[in-house]
Amino acid sequence: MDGVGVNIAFWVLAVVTIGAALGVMAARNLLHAVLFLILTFIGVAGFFLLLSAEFLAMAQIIIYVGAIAVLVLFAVMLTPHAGQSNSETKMALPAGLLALCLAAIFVFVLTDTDWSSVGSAPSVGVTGLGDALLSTWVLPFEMASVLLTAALVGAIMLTRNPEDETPEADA
Amino acid sequence: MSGWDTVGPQLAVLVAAGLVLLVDAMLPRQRQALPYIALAGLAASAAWTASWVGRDDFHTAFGGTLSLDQYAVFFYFVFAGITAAVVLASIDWVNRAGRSQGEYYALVLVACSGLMFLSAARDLITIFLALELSSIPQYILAGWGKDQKSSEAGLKYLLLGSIASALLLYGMALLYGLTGTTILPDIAQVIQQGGDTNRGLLVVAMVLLIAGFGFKMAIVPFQMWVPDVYQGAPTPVTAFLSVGSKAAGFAVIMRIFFEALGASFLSDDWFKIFAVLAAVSMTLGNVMAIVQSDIKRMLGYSSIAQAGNFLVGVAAIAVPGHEFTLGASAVLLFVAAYAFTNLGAFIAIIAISQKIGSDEIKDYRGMWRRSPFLALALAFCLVSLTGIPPTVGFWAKMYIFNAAIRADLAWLVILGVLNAAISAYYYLGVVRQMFLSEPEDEEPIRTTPPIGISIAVATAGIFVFGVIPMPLITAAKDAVQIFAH
Amino acid sequence: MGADQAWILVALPAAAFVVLALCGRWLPRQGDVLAVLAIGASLVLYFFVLHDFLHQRDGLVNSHEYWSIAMHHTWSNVGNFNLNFGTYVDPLSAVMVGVVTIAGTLITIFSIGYMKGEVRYWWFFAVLMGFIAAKLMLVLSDNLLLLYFAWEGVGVCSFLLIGFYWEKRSAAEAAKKAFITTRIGDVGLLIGIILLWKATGTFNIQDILTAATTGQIGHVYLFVSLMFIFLGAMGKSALFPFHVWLPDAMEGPTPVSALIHAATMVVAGVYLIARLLPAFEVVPASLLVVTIVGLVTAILTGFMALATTDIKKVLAYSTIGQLGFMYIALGCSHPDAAIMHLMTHAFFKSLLFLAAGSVIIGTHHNQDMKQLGGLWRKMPITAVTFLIGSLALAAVPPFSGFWSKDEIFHGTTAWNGGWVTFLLGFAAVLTALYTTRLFVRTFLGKPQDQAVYDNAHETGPVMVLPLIILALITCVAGFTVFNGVGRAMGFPGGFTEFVFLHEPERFVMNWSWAAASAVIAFGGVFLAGWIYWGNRITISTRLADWQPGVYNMLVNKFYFDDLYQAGIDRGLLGFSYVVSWFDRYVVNDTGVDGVADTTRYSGSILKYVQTGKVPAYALGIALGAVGLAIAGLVVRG
Repeated sequence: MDGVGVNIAFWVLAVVTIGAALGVMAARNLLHAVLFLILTFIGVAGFFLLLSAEFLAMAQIIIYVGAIAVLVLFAVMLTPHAGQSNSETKMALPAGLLALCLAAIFVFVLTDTDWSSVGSAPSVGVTGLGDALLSTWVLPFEMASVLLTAALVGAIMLTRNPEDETPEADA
Repeated sequence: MSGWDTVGPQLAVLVAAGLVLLVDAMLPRQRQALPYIALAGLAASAAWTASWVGRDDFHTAFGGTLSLDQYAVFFYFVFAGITAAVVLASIDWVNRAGRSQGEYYALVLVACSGLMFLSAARDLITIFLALELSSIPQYILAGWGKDQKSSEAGLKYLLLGSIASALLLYGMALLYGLTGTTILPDIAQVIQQGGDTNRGLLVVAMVLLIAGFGFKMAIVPFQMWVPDVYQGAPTPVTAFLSVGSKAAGFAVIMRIFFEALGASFLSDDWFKIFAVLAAVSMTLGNVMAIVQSDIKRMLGYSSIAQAGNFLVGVAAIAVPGHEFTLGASAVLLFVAAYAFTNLGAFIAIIAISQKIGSDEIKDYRGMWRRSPFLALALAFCLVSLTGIPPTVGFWAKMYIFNAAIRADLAWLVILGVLNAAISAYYYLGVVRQMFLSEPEDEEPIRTTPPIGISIAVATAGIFVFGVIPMPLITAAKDAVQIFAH
Repeated sequence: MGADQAWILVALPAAAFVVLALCGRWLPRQGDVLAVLAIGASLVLYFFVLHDFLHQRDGLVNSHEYWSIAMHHTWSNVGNFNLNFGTYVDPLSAVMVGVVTIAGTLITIFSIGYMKGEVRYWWFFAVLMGFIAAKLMLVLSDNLLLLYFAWEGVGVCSFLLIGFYWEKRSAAEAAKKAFITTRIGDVGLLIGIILLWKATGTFNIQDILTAATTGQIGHVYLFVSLMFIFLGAMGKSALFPFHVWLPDAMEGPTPVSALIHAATMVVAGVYLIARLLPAFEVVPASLLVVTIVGLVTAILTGFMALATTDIKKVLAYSTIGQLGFMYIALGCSHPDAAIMHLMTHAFFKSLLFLAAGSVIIGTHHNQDMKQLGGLWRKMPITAVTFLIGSLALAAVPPFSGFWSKDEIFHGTTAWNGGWVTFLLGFAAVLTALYTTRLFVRTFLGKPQDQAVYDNAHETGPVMVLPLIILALITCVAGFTVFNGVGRAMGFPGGFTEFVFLHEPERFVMNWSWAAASAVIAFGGVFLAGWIYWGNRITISTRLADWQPGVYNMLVNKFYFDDLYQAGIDRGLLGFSYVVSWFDRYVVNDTGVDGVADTTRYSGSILKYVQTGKVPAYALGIALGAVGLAIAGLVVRG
């Protein structure tokens, strides 16, 4: 994949993604922040497309934009007064400076390094991904499922109202 | 699919977790059996691990993402033991709280399996997932208490832990970007071929890894969550955090150093960073611990200082051109010693605070009169934390400092000895309160059998290995042999 | 039972300690019999060990060769790091074991009478056994690490003994003070041991000495390590400027614990330096430091003893002063004189402490000179034995103190210029002065408090008998310097021919030295007699009128305690308060504070994020990562 169009697409996506990420930080209204977050996710999906990882791009959109962002939106909208009282913190200035330092370090390191680039994109389709997940990477895959189960159990446990549950009631 | 037998200990623990959940849901009247199901699972796990002791046909499995070796076996034992002690110590606590008992034990067990995976993983993705597998249950457990402080602790731990995970992921991404692989020995190979040219990136990646794991290890400057979370979380969970995740952090950072990033030109950077972090962690942790009035907060700061002691050993490993097994085995010895000691201390605190309903050090006055057993056990654990013989804590410090001296880090050792003297001030301060002050309340404190047994085992371990340290030292020595090649 | 099984001597009291500590409360008579049996058996076995030890010497061709019996077991090892556990018997440790077992047995028997009816009777005997076991291990150990364990063990047991009456606030405070003060020295000792081990790769004392004397360790390095080790000895021996803890340590059960501290524990430092003396001799500067510290201590505590009226504290100061004498002898490379004085001092100081205890019991717990006086008639046996002890302390011939102090005087000629001899003479005069003052004001003159005098009585036989035995020993112990006496007892010769490190020294009576030191002693005694007996006590009040500053300085022990307290309060604690303030107000509470207090859980979780704490912590984490990364990159650059 080479050419002017790809380059232009890259820079447009970069500006959109980083701009949206800054928007998440800067927005005082939580709802706006979530919307910016969705834009960031879409930008990342765009990068996946540029890298010929169509499946990942789709997964990114379905999972992050479709599920996670919507979940966050629900949570924000169900929370009373979520849109208010998000005043400025004293952290803004030091945090900004720190972020700049971090960015400077990364820019320096990224330009300084001799990256080993691959000539052409590996053609890994859905089949290849599935094979990999259930052969070489079966252990992390299964660990992830255990992790999700544990998180689910924990989430239910934390949100359950203590008053609902008495030892006698469910006996 | 072959290779599942290599994760037997983890599977045993996870099966027990599933059983606990099922029994809790299906047979609510049998709830008092839950901790014992958990203990049975841990025992099965330890038995499975024991079948590997002394064998030398160790190998990798699952496409090289997991390594079954002496090192992992050592940590399997440590984590099974830690978790068993935590389960025993939780029984009264959970019974009193009365809610979500099955979930509690299940999450403890899942976290334990995560810790075990972490000590055996030799691939960045597996390491990350194992870390999360151990962390997320711990976030939830920290917020498990009903009070405000516990919720606050859980949330703080979750948010800050996520930031640490993000840093860790960033570091891993840089490594993968450079080398195109996530398997640790392969990374080492690519780095060796590349030579010194990409050192800047490697140093930054290394720092990000240290930041991510440093959060778990509670070393300065990634330690700020420690006092708040330790104080707020339910005490058994605090015990688990202070021992389990710290040990796992050191286990994995040492494996990464030896198998992936230990290239000769990098070890210089490692040892400088670790030596500085060790010095800062020890000093800051100890100085802050002096002025604490809450015993859990004090132990929180002291655990930061102890992490500094661990780091002395890690720094000694990394010093170029020195024999590393000494330092590596010293760190492992310290892990085991610290597990015994800190668990003993925390369980004694659990027993005491259940009765007196306070964690203030001043409320420990005259504990000797109220419960000689608990007072003696706690005093013994604190003596071991200080590093005074005849306790296992002494040997741990001794070997750590020995390794540092052999690595020409004498300044660090002298700083460590001075810090040990400072730590004696606040550790023995508690002992003084317990033994030399008059109790305000004469009512005796009774211990329940589970707590009594776990404290007795911990203190017996401290003493027995304090007098006969060789078995533990040999085990630690064998465990690091895998890095000898 | 040979000298290579000397570890049994340690094992017996250690076993008694374990048994008594665990179940002493429930044993018949609370286990005091067990304690006496254990230490008694150690004492008996000691004579077997000594006999075997002396016997092995007979096999040597050269009868003046240094000989020793060592044995060890491997304790633990990792890679090239080996730890051995072993015993080392040579004349030095043989004498020390003798002093400890004999004194220990007497103390244990005496305690049965003295501690009768006390609370925690069993606990006292348990700690006493622990103390003796640790002390024996200290003198028998063949390596510095084991010695350090024993050193700490002695410290912990003494902490427990001083704080025995922990209900009493002053006792708890004194225990803390002793522990902290000696701990400072202990850290120094540990650093010194680590430094020596770093240089030689071994903890074994003889190997280290060999390395030091053959020049394998650089002189500056050796000097620094030895100074750290000397720091440990200073702390344990309560030398200047660590002398503050010993007088307060007299809070322990009188006089048993006082005796332990004065006669037994504090000489651990003397033993340590004597043991390592060959290394000290490699660097003469270190010997000079030892000498000077000894001199300063001896003179300073002499003045303090003159301004104190509590009889036990006077004895405590005199103990420190006598320890100063021993260190002077060590500084002059005369371990034989130091150990000789150690031995004689152990006996006459035990005598004095027990006699003081007898006074305290006999007068119903009065130990202030201002309220005593004229007790001669009421307590004749105590008075006579006390007098013998005092004369020995004042170094009046022919009591034991005279012979050993004479040896020290003789040794000071090692330093050119005679200034050491002169200052030592001054310290000896001070000793004679305060000793006589103590005796005169307690036993002679007019009773200061009629009620106390009327109720005073002689104490019972359990207490008097040890006094008489010790008085007899005090009278004759000094004669062991003579070759004939030593040989008659089965030793190769006199004391100085038995305890030596290089060349045995045959005792030669030097009449001019003896005469000079006798004059000094008598002079001091007569001066004090003139001042205090001749009812010129007002001289101290006159000093108070004339130079209140000087007098207050003496009474307040040169203000050392206040200085240290201020140092701890303002220094260490101040620093940690500053750091904790920073933590609390700058790091924690930037933004809105009081998370748990102000918010309710039912509301938004997000509020927790808004409190400022979490962002501050997150910032800290990021700052740490960035700082490390920059540092890493810069260092690499």
